[in-house]
Amino acid sequence: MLPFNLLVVVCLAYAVLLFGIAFAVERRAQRGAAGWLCSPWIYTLSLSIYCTAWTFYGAVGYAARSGLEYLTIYIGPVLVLVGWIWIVRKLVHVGRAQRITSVADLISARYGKSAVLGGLVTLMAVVGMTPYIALQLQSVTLSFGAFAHGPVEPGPETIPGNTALWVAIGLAIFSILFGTRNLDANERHHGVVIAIAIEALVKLAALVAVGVFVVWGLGQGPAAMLARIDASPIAAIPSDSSRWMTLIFVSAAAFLCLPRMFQVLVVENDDQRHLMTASWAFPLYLAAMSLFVVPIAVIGLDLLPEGSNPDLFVLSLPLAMDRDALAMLVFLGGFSSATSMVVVAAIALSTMMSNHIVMPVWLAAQGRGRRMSGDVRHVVIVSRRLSIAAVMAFGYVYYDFSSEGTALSAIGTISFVAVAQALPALMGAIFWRGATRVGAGLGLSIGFGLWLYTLFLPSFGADVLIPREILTEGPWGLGWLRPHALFGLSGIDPVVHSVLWSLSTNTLAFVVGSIFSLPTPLERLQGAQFVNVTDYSASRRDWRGGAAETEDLLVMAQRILGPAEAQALFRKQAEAQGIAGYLPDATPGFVDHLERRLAGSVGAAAAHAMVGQIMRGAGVTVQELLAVADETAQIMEYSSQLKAKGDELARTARQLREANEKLTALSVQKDVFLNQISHELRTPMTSIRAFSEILMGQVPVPVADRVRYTRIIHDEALRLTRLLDALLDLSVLEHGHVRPEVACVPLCQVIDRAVDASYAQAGPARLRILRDRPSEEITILTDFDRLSQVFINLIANARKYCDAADPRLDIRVESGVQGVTVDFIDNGSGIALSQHNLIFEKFSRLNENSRAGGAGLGLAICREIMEKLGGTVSYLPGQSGGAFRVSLPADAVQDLV
Amino acid sequence: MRRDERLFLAYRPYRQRRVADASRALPAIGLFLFLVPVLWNRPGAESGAGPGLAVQWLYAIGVIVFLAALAGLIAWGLSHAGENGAERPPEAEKERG
Repeated sequence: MLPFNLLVVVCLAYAVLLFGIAFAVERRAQRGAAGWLCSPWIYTLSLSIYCTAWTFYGAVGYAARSGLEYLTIYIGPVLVLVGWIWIVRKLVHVGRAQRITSVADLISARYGKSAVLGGLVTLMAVVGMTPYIALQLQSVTLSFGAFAHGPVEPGPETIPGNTALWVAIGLAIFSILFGTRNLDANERHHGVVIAIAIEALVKLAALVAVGVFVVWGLGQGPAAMLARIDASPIAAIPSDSSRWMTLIFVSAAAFLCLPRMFQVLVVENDDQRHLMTASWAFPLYLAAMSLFVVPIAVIGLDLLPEGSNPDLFVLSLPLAMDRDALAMLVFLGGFSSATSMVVVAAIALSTMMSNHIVMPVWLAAQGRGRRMSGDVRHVVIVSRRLSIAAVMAFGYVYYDFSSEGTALSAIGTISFVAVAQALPALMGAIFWRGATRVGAGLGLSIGFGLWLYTLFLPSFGADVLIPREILTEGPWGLGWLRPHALFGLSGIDPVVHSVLWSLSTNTLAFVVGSIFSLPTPLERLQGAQFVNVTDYSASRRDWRGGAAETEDLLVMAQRILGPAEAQALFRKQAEAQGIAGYLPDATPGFVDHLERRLAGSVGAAAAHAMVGQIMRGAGVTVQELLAVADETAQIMEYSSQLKAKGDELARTARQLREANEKLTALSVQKDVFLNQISHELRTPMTSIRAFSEILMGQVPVPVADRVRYTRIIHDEALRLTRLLDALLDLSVLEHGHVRPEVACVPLCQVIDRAVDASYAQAGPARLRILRDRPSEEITILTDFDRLSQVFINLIANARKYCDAADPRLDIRVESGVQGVTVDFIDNGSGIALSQHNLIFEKFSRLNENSRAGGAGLGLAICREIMEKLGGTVSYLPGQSGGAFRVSLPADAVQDLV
Repeated sequence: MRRDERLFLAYRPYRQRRVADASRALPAIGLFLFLVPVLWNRPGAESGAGPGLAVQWLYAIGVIVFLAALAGLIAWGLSHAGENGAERPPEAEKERG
């Protein structure tokens, strides 16, 4: 039997050795000679902190009590790791891209950097991990006790001194020394990782050594061993399929969500390719760890006295056989399992506690308006050390408090179910963009609450935290609320029952909450970045930070990262921007980078808040980002408006050009007309003057001549009057307020009148007028005189200008829903295209030497009249000759006669 | 014509994606194999109908080793498919097909 003091000395020496190695490795890593430290083998071995004292000692006890069920604890992680490409790869991606420090940080960052969610997950993790840490204390204490008193179940009173307390204090110091040496959880704890890797080898070697000793030393070889296994009482233990499946699921979930596993799996991951190695090497490690559990349990039950604690078979078998060296190795293996787990768990939990509980509270206490004062670095370190102490204290209190003799595996399962509650929110975070913080918060709280009620509180036993009546009768006598039989679901295993209710309602609340709530803008951005992490890992900020004060940022960064590192960071950035000195411009990229670096030390939410505090008014908030987006949208709209205006300008310019051309043409025409009208006025005036002078002259004029001269004077005067009448008419139409005298008239009468009048004006002529009387049988609401004036003009024009040998005028009437059109189509040569625009202008005439001697006002008058009547008159191109169309509006049509 | 020179598809990235598919299938295969003991020990079965404890124990450990071996093969396949001529490492791969 080894003396107890020797045990303590060996234990301390082992711890000092580990610390020395870790210290040396950190020094090496700081010098940049990390090299082999980042190998996939180290990574794989570091994952072995999954195998705690629970696995080391407890698995044998578990096998002795429940048969092969102990394997479920290994099967879950095996499935997760061989399927690493589904989940672990994405977690590592996200962890690296966002500089995630913990599960709480990931969930907080994903759901809009929510401090509340981070705090909630931290709380869950601390409460959930407390039993687990108690478990480690219990196992180390038990193993000390086994050395002191032999394999028979030692009561607490038989353990020398208060071993558990001393172990807890020792582990706390160990964790503080190891875990809070550097602040940035993101800056990988190389020393700790190496220490874990060595411990992984020690515990594997210890377990395999015991296994070999048991199978070949005590069990007479493999064949005999198999026979003993089949014959052992373990074979008679009935297996529970529901527990088998539930525990596989829970251990897989816990492998992803356990704070310490997340730390080594995601945070300490240097290279994603290490996952490929770990995907097969770690399952092999687990297989080796679990292989000899059954033989040890079988032989232990066989050889050790009745009442021996099966949780200690690994240790008590070598002790009973007086193999002191082997026993010492086993003791160190168990010690390694407990310490590595506790150290990493303490680091992970203290990071979470300081980042998600202490820092937000401290920041809030500082007040929003004030700048940070004091050394934040110091605050963070102290808060982490206190957190480690607190975590260990919780563990010890739980150990002290929990019912004695609780099997190790039962305690471990309680912890696993607690951390598994984070699974829905975690999976939603990386696979479902629609997941919101409301859903995550609801799911986590409900799942956690149900875990507390159905598993955690009852685990202390009746009348400790929960009165016996509630356990057996339900609260207020409501049987369906019994912790182990919610809603009448009784008769199943408490763990299965708890997992079933807590995780299903957790998931349901998470999904329903997410569906019925709206995410904040930041959540949407983060969601896209997390879910599509392989698509874009670029900076999420793409807007200038404005007048952020870089110096304040430097002051803050120094307090958190340490002066040397912060200055190096700023200097490098300044260099990259081409600026001498330590103060780069606070570009969004830089601020973003800085925030992530800070997040590595104090968590995403706190870093965001700190940077936000510095940037204050000029801070880059998502709201501002959205405002910028709005502005951009406005600018785009404005530019499209400009473009529309540009188009309009171009159109106007074209219209102006056209108008100008028309004006020029008109001006030419007006000159021509002035010539014409002066000629027109002058010719009759000349003859009137000449003949009146003759009549007034001394020489008597013969009567016949006098009559002729007088007639000429009269004719010329009439011609002048007609011309002036036409001018006057047009002027009145254009500028006067002529009201058409509207009445119901048959269209055929109007045309009749016009045809008659045109005959009367010009006398009998050769022009044949073709009409289609039935189509003219329409009553229209119009000014009879004015409309007939238009028609007279058009017929007269045809009479004057139709140059065909057999002149003919077609009058066609058509009526429809759009109104009535009357077309006047002759068989002459028509009007050239270039003249179409001009013929309706005043004083326009097709050729200067008008045969008809008109003043060129007829069509202008027609147009004015039609405008007054609400219709139009236009030239109709593409007919057999000259063609005009008179259109009357639909409301002028009364009915069909 | 060597298979690497086929024109219609880049052989190595294609092979790499198929290996990744195999990797995705692995947990499903594992889950199935690990649920076989549930069939042996189903409540209705008469005791002693299933294999004995020793066989069940070796079976479970064997499945873990078998899965580890497959995962090792896949890891070897993934890194070898990426060795030369592979345009994309599996990490950059987005499509499932």
